Amino acid sequence: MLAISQAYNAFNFLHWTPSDSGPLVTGFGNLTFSDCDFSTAASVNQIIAAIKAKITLDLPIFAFSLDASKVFFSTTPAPKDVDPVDILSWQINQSQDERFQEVMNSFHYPLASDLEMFLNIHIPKVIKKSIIESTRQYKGEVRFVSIGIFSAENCARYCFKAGDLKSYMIWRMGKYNIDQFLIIEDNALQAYFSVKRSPDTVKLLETWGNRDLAGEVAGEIEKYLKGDLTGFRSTERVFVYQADHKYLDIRKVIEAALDNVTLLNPLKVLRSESPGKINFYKTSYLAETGLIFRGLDV
Amino acid sequence: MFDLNLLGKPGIQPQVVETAYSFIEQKPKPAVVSHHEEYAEEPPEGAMESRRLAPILIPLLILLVMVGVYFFNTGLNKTALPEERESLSVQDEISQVISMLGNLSDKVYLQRFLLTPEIILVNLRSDDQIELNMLSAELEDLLKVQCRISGSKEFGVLLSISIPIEYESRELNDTIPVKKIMEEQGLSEIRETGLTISATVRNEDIFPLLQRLLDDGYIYYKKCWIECRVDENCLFQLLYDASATK
Repeated sequence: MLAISQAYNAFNFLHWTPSDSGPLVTGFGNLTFSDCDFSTAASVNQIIAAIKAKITLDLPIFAFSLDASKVFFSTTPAPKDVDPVDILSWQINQSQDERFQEVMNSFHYPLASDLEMFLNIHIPKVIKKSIIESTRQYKGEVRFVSIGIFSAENCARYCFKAGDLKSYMIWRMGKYNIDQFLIIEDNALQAYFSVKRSPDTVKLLETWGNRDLAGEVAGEIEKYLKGDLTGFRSTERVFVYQADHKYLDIRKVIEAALDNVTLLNPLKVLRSESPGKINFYKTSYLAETGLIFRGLDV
Repeated sequence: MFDLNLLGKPGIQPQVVETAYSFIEQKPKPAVVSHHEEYAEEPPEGAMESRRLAPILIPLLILLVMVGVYFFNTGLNKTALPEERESLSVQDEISQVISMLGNLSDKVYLQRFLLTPEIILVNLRSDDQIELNMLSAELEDLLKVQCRISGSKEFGVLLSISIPIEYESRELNDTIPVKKIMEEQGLSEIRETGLTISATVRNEDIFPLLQRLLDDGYIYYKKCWIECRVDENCLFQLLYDASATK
């Protein structure tokens, strides 16, 4: 199976096949295109063709992870005593123009029950259409389409058994010091938010879900930047990766030896055919190919 | 925590969405070349040349076989003749194989099972070579076929059994949809893609499912193609050409 994840202009890939002792990674890496994304079949074809030149693709089964900038997020209150279908359709009628639903598909995910809220993800229809069309041209199969940090959460849950924890956080270190976070508690999503890191301050940008928790985490990150943090208290464990192919920031986090931080990289737990020594910091961007491990007990 | 899959139907989402789009073409029909090669490859260069000789060679071969069988049956080598497989009906053979799969020890697992109107192929894997040797002896005795054992340090030991079969296929009338059978057997992740129905089947569930398909006559359906294999999820996947039985 081949997972392709887009982060900025880079397309990261990881290919694995089943073996008697579990999944075997047979190829991974990244390619950069300045003018490609998943919005046309021709672009998807071009990306797959370039990856195929680097790996042996025995069976064309694909999974795609989109860059979060390619979709839109919103939230909808969902009081327990109101039919969610009614409130969602009411909100769509109130806040979106007529053409919106012609060009976008909207998906609604319930957040943790105490929040009484839906996280809405709106994806241009053309992306799904292009991916399916390209898969058809390759006579392949597409199994999953997800989004960056949500795909990395799959990596934490399926490769690092995060689902066994009471609570955990995914920390995506990004370009221009803009980071994204997911907080999961009791196996339910509490918050999805982003922050801007400066040398010793943190500014909360967008937040969907539990704002108090997001603020608490932003405070902890600020403490870390000032060297005052020994471990995160907001969640039981923090899984961190760097999405932009740099690795100095993430190495700093890991070397700070905080007591509940784990480097999120599927290569740490999977067998790989790669002959050389793998730099786990530098390849932690592969966390976003994690959707391909759904259903596995790695 | 939900598994986000934007391939599904828009709207309020469940925890897991199984929607997938498959354009994978159907596999070619198998023809046994040896115990190791499960599928006939494309004819190599020169193969067409051999085919041109077929009209001459085949009658000659048939003649030779008939002469051989005549002398064999008239007592030239009667004592060495193994118990004949022909004494087993196809139904018995399939039943025995399915029964064997249902009684595998914990140390052995089914890596692949393929049933078509021409062949039964079974690959069993284990880390315990002695266990497989014993099983191989039992199967040779039971099924009157030769088993092949191969292995490597990396992948463990593989026991391959291929049983050529031939039965009269038939149309199915008044059928229960395969999907319903799968649901009744408690299988999860049932998916219909193209002409196949697939489901994720755990090792322990495969035997009751095959037995049910045998009991309901699907195994003799002419478009029947049942394959269980270790898939990407390291579970067993069952494919069934169900174009006319949905």
